[in-house]
Amino acid sequence: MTAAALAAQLGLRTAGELAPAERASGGVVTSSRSMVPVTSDIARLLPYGGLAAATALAAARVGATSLLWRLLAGPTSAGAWCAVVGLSGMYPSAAAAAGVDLARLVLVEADGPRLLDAAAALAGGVPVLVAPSAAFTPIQERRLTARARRSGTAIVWWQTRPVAGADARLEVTGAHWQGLRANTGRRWGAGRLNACGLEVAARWRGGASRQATIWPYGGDRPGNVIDLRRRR
Amino acid sequence: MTPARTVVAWLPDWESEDQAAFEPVLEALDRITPYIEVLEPGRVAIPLRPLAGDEAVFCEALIDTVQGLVDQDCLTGVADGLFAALMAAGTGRIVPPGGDAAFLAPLDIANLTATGLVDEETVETLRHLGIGTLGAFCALPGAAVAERFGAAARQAQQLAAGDLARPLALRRAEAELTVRVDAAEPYATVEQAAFAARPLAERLLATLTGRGLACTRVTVTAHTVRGLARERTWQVDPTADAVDLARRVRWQLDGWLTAGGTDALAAIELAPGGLLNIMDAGRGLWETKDAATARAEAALRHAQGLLGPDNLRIVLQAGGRDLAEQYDQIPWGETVPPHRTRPWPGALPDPLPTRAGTGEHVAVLDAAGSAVAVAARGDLSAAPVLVAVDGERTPILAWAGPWPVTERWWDPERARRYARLQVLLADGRAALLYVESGRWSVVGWYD
Repeated sequence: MTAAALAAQLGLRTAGELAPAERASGGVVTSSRSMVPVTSDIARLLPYGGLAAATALAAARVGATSLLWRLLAGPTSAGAWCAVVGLSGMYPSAAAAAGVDLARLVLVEADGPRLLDAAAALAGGVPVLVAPSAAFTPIQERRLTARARRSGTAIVWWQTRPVAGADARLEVTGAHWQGLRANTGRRWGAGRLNACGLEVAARWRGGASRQATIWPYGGDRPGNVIDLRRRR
Repeated sequence: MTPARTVVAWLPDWESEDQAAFEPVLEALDRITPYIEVLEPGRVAIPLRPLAGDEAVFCEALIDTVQGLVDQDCLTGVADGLFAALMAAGTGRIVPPGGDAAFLAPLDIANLTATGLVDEETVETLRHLGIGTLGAFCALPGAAVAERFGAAARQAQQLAAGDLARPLALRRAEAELTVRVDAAEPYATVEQAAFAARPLAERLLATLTGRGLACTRVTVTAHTVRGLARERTWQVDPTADAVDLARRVRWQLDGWLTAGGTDALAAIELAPGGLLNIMDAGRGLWETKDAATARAEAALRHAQGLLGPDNLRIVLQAGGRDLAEQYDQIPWGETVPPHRTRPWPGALPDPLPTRAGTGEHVAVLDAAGSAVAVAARGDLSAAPVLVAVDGERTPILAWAGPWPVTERWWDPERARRYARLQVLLADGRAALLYVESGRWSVVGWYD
């Protein structure tokens, strides 16, 4: 007699039949809408406090990449897969400093029609998809957004060409790199780049707007620093 | 994250010392979980993943199974650590999470011998010193224990305090689960190899299903005609069918054969890893995977099917000084190699540049308009004032450095000497510049 038959005869239960325990309630708040959690500094810039269907991020501004990584910090550390399609020329290791869990970040390399197919496949399932708007025609772009809305995927447009119908538009209006000094006349420069403050303006679909300063890499905010030289 | 829990099952009436006689019990336990470490015949430890379900219900199932299939009484103990679970099994108790130390404290000092680190004599000595419980032993200063009784006793003390966790050493997949095909004619092309891979994948799944198992990893091994072997381990969906599995194998073989450097293949082997009970596989009891994650991974697999395995990549942090050396990329779905997390003196500190520079040469000029150079002593010839990229001159607002880097001076082929300079430009951009053999280039933009 096989073990399975014997187990059935004796009315034994296996581990597979156990009731799963309730998920531990963590710090991430989920709302009733299909919303991807983000870090609290980013949440203030987004309409529902989380990533909704379509977000556009102006790529041309200095600091846009840092803002993108900060945007993905919340979803990846909450365990959601984020796929970044067709963005090349980046040092992805910088994302970790902005809080991104690299184990949940998938970089997808594709171009031309294969990029469209891959983006469509990904929009059917991954929680967050980052795509460059330049690779899409307006019709293709609307189709992808519609597909993402149906499947609950939050799409982030890396906006090199304006996109239509975004729920929120984020733009870095000023980037302040901290830590470097003028070092006038010196032959060895003291200090090092250690933080960055991004002034971000958000415009929502409903017409509302928000402003915030984001510190993607943490660091010293101005005013927190005591200059020892001045205390002499 | 809830820490993993440990279950110890103890068959108090088990007398035989023979490992082989214990096999039927293990076979019975295999019905519940494939993850078992045999501590000794009659005593096994099972890791319980977080969120794996009600522990009491699991223990009941375990006891019922052993009772039903091998007619032996069984006591179970559950705790965070192996030592506490071992003690708890003596009385059949479940220690609440985080309660190891409190549970162990009132136990008699004689239990310390169960760690295998302390002998009877030491226990007697401790008793004469008035230390009668594990709690009292733990209260002793660690340094004093190490000095008087040696490192092993200190380790035992940490175990008794519930501090030191030893990961369980689980049984390996049995060799007989591995399937292999030997080529009558060596496979020279991907098509020939893929044609053989399909029935091989079917055989692997049939073997596993026959034993009520599913696997979460597959190791593909290719033996070449010259007797070399290449292998790679992939994560697979435990519910994947033979078509999926065969496609995975095909990609791997494709990579090896088309990349060159691999001779015709004489044999292909598939070995399953991360074995799951087939019933758990569908429900995600051990791998706590919710529906959304499963859907996301299906979409990623779909995209990988369209683009090929190497075009979906995961970034790993690696050790290195140069920017490009600070990360590795591996295909998504491949098993992550063990992490190299050593501090790298001389590595660029965070934040790193986010965008790669085009690598083209730029000019760094001083106030007089002449090129800035780095002297042998590691300082600049003059303070930098302007950067000219593509002929466009931008003033420098702030800067730091230079930091000289000398890499692999012992290897004339790969040796490098360069210096780094961080600059903040008047247009708001910040850049990382390298100067190597007297030429400046933008290595990365802080964006």
